[in-house]
Amino acid sequence: MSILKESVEVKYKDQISLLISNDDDVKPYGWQMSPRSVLKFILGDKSLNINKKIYGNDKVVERSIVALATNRGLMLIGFPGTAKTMLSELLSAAICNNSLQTIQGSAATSESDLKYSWNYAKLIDEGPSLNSLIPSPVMRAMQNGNIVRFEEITRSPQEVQDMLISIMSDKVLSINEFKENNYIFANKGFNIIATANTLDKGVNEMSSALKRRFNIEVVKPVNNISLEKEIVKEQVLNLNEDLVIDDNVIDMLTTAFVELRNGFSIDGVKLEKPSKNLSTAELVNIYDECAIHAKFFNNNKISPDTVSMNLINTFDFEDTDDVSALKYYIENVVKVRATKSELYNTLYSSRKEIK
Amino acid sequence: MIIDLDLYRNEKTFFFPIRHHSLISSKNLKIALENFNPDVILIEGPSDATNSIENIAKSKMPVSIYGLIETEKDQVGVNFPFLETSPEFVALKYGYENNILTEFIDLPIYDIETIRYEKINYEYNSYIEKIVEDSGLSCFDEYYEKYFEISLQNKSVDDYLNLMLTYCKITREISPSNDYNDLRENYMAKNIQKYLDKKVFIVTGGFHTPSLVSLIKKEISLKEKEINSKVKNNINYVIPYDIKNISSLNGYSAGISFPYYSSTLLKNKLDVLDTFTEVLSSYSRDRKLDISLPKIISGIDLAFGLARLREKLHPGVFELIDAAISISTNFTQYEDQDLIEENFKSFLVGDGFGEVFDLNSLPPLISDFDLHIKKYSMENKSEITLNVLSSKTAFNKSVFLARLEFLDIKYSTLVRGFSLYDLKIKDYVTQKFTLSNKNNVIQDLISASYLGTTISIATESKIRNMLSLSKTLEENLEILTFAIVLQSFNIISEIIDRIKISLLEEHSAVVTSKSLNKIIDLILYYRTFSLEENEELNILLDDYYKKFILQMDTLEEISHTVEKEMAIAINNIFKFINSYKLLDINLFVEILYKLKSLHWTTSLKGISLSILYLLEKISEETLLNQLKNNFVTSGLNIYGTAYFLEFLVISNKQLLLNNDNFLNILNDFFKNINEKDFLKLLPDMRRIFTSLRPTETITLSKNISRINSSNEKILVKYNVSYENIIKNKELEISVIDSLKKRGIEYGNN
Repeated sequence: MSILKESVEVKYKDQISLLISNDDDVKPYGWQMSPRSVLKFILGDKSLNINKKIYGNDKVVERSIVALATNRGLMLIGFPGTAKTMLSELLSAAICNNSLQTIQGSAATSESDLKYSWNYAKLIDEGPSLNSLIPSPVMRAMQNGNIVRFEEITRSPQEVQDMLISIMSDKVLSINEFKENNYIFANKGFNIIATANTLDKGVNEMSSALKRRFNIEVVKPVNNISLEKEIVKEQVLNLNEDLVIDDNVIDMLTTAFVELRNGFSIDGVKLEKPSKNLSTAELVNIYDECAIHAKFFNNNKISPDTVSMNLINTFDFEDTDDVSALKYYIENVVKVRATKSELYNTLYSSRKEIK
Repeated sequence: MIIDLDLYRNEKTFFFPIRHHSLISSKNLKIALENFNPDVILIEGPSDATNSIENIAKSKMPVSIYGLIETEKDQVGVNFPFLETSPEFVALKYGYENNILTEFIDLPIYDIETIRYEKINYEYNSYIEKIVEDSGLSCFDEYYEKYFEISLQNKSVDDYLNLMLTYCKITREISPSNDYNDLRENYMAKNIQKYLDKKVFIVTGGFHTPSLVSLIKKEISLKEKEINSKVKNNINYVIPYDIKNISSLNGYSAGISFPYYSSTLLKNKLDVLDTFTEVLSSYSRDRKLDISLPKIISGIDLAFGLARLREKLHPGVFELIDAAISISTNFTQYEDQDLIEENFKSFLVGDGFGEVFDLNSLPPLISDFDLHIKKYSMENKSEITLNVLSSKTAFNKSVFLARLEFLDIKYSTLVRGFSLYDLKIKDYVTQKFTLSNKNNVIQDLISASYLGTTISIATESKIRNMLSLSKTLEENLEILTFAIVLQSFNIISEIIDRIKISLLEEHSAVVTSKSLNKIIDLILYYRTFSLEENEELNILLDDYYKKFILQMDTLEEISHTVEKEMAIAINNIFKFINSYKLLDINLFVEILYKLKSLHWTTSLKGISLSILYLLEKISEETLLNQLKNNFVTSGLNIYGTAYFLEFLVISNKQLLLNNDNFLNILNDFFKNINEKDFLKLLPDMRRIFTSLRPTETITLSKNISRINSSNEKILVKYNVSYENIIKNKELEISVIDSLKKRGIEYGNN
């Protein structure tokens, strides 16, 4: 049996060890490596043969590391699929070798997910004690002086979000059920990395008081065709090394995504921008589906029909504006390229499938 | 690389390398000057501007030496700007204040190539690109800031000299040689040689310093006559400069990215903490961002953290930008950090102009502008209303404002009324302008200074430049319009000659008719504003008229649209011929006979018949017969009928107003077409009625009600209110009277 997805600290165990052993810089309290080594871990370092893991957001990465080093919470926002979660995992793994202390924000997120809950059998048997208490990831991070990740924070109710205010300001969590020693003080190195996607910003508006306690960084989509093609290749191979890599298909899909995202083609045609999320992650998903289809049904050869249908079907046909944007793109950009490329020609012919 | 500093500074000479506008260069320069105590200070700068040194020293920065270069084709303006932080300014100010002989030593040639070459030396060669890339920094400016501005802050002058000279020597060695650069350095070296018996301090861009040190030991021969012949017509002024321009590569070695940041840093004696606090607080206030003090502190904290991460001794402007992005990002809606960065960078550039001490050094165009706005009592940020028909002064003011607009001097905005370029005075006889602040147009005036010493001369020069580039008949006519409207009468002959040549090559009757119309409009413009008539223009009109007649004689079938354009042209030509008797009407009548008989004509047929009837060349019976023959109420030809009717009426409203037979035919036409066709024709046909004057609308209403036994106010009802028509009628009478006083007939009242 092999694990489907290893934690970042396990996956990059060797790189982390190498960086720690080569690190002469000052480390913030509770950090296993210096900010500069964290930077090398995420943005790569040729001399140590460490690969770059986040693209197109170098300044955001720098500011995020420094924000954490100065004991401020970090909030990463951006469209879905822009590698916010990946960045928060990489930061946690590099700083405290633990990317698994995580809260997943949702409508069902409650106070106990942020503070603590009880083992009721022990509670009845022993009464409130550290033994009967089940610490939340936040409490564990406070006790251990490391990082807790709060994914999709704005999906959780505002009253739950606001519990973080006192934790982030006072760095203390009170356990009212204890008669004495009822405060858990955060150890140095404790911090929070939250993520929120900008399409869901309206789910549960975050209070200004909480926002003030975070350094907010916007993670942007990669808008460089050649760079994005490389990322797609790398991530597809990360998902499954056996999948076929067809450069022409990657080129066509990436070009379409970048052109639609930017609202103009590489030939200078002005386009309508769909509201749909056109992230690199979405792009990887489409290519992955094409490659898996090829592997099991088409002798490992990606057919133009599959590419066209997967690209078209990624759009929500209920969203008339997005459908109109796609149609406009096909009529004004794809049509011109159709005479020179079978992939584009098939996509052009598939336009009838757009309802 | 080891630098032998003794080569650069000894008891007699001190070669001080700088980067233009660099704070760290300025700081070390000041210390070096005080320690060296020179008899003479020589500065890289245009030697023919040496007599402006006192003026610059007493001025409020930024100012610029503005050179007008005589080129083969034209004059070009080039700037040599100074900021408070510029080492050249520090040196000349020190020289002036301490009564030390101070001179500029560079070639008196301002050349656009100089600017490009200087920028390339420092920033765009492959060596620099490589070291910037290897350093992991974003650009050359960040590299320079990290290794010079920041690293050298607490170091000695010798440390500065060592680092700057090492860098410049390497840059120099890998830069390709350039004849123009060699000439400049020889020229500077020769100027330095004149003072080698004194204690001399030489301030030049670091790129030149190493070669100057060796050049002064050699015998230099210069082709001075050649140089002098090139520059003999060059002129320079000291002008107030725009901070925004300094932030771009708009002038000799400008390109300092963030002048406001630099000046704040200088003001705070290079203290980064004070500077960052001041800049971020001002930014928050200026852009109404309401960023709290704790947030600003966290931003500064972030900047210091980033500086450590980027291995800088302390943060610089690039970390300040990061701090601003971080503290301005507020997750209430999608935040575009690129936009925040752009906004903050523009804030760091700053705003405003310097002030020149000696106003006599400004280009004369500015004085001329000043004289005019005083003469015309034009006040900053005011509104003026000009009745150009009633007052010669108002007309002259309007021409003055039009000239400024033509010269891209954005002093006024026309908010109501007609533009002089419309040529025909239509709905309004007044113009309303809003005026800007005089200081806001200083830079525009300076930019236009190369065109001439007065607004009038500059206007003429610009028209002349346009003429030298124009190729087509339309372009030349456009230029003629500019010359007439802007009253650049000296150049009109030249333009007319060009138009005559274009006319010979013109074979299109459509173009000729349009051009003829334009010339007619221009002649009428002369008359409207009682300008002295131009005989050459009348001759040109005659030439065009003959060409037009010739081309109309052989006219072949054209589209309805083009035909309509020609029909409009013919109508205007007729009105002109009829009113001014300048052209032979018999030739015109012959052509109209021909046009009315051509089987394919519609609007041309309409206009021809109408004019012939007006001139009593055909009877009413012939006219009505023709009408019946051209009457179709269905199918494609319905459009032809509509155009025919439209143009029949356009030049002869009396047909509509006084002729019941015609009105009946028109009435039947509308009754017999279906609604769909009616709607298609409506845009064209409505012109028949909307061109009516209020009095005519009332007359026509009465006629229609008589024929159809309908309400007398039928047209009024669907047009505007009856009261409005009466009011317009009174207004119209006063306009007609006003025009009559200038000998202009308006309509047939």
